[in-house]
Amino acid sequence: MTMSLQTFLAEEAFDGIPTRILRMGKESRTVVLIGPGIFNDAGFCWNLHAWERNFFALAENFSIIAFDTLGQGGTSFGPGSDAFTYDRALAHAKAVLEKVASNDLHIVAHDQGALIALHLAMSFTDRVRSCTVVSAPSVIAAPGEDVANFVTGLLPAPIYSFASQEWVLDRLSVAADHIRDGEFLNDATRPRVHDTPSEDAVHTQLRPSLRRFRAEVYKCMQNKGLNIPILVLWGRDDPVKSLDYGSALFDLIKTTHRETQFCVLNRCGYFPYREQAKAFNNRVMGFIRSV
Amino acid sequence: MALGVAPKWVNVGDVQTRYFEAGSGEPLLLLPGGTIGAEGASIAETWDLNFLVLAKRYRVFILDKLGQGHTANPLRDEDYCKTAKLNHIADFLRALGLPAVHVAGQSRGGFMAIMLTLRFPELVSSCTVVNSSSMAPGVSLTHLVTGGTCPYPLFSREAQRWVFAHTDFSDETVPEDFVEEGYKVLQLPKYQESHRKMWKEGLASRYYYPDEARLREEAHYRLNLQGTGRPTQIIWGDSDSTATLHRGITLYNMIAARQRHAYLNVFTNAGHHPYRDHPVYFNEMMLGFLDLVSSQPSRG
Repeated sequence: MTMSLQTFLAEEAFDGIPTRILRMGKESRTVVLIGPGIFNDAGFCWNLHAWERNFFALAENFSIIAFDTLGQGGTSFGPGSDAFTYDRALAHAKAVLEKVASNDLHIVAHDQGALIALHLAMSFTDRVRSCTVVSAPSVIAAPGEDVANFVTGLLPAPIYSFASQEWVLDRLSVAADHIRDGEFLNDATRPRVHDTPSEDAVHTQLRPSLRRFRAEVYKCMQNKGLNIPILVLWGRDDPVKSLDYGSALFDLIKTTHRETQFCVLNRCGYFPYREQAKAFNNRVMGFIRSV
Repeated sequence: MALGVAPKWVNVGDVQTRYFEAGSGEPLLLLPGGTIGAEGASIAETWDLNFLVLAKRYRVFILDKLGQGHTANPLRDEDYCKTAKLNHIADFLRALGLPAVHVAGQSRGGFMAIMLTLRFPELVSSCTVVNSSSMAPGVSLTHLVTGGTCPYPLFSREAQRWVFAHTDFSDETVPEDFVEEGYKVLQLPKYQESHRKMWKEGLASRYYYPDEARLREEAHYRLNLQGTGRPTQIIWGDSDSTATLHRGITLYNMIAARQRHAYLNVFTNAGHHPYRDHPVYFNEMMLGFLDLVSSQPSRG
């Protein structure tokens, strides 16, 4: 799978930023996959290979677009004093979608990627037909201390080493077979091209913009919603992002969305699309087909 | 012919039993909810938005359970209970000589789906439960919502419409042809006899409810111990006033703790009959689930 996947990868500039992007298929109905981490802020170098167990299955029915968001995988950071904000990540994602011909977009996004996805849906109201929000506790306020802090606070040194990043995946997963499978972890541990944000940038750019993005999603969901069907999908046994987060997010979204679904996959942690790939593909394809 | 095909009949233990059949492939049995002689008649036609869609890929059966719809009443007073209804379903499957079926039931049909899976595992290959207040842990609100509060005369069209509209999210899911099919059942002498036996002669309190409580206790004990033993899907409409969502999630967690292949799907703006509120979603989720479990190497 890995070798053939390479044939679908390309590097292009979006918003002036060199970006690694994957394209598959020629169907009008297009699934846009956005990964969990923005700016590699949790001890793991997120990359589009996260979805490697889904590309080919989803491509049987839809065109596929996946890209590394800012600072992820094969995508650079942008220049400027706001380089590490969600605003820049959103502007970059918008630039990607503006070059996608389809007006039948279905975004599937994980955790912090879902914040970008929901903002994209707010912006491209005439093109985004549905959103699937996967294990996205970052979209809602954490009840009490964010349990993830206890994970990242225990990162083995040196951080971003193979062993340290493998440890992160292990802490977040229930099923372990996916951790070393494919290119996800390998890609995360290749020689680093991009720096992570400085401590100062995290506190002055990343975190404030994250809070603002979350507040904007809240405001939208509580007031008028997005007028598109939304699927909230969660792993029942997520070790650090419990199902309660999923229920809370579902409760938030359903107040303004007539068509919302909540789907739970069993024996599954933070990575439903890797740990239960077959079931994930099945549920997501069924949802998008029914939209 | 709201279901698009003519009904069929089979003798099951001397009980004339009505069912519908369409399609080919692995068998899928759909069970309506409700019980014998209730104020509103739960009928096979409740699946009319799903039956032929699912039948494009599966051999689909809908059964009028013992004493319900057009199926004859129990032969003995003591069979006005869930155990007799459960055995009737099992005997129906044996009478047709079917291989293990995917069973999907709503409300008290969901109760039967789980009991069939637990007691007759050789007859079942997967189990789907839709908004089953009678099976979910916790207190059922059914009696508060519909019991004895219908403002219309017994056995009237208005009563039939009220019972279903009162538990559904939208009145649109209770069209006139659906009401009319239920009304025909309410007018059957056998139905009115069953109503009299259940509620006037006291068979409900003598046999039905004590038996239901025993079966539910058995089901919860076994689900906590071993799960269902078959791939299981819980589908729940979150606006159900009788079977609240948290009870559906509790039932799912009870099963999922022991059952690897356990899936939960919740639909918003859907009441007690989410397959009528959102038939397109429901059909996709149902077909997707069947695809998933039909290809599982292990059915455990």
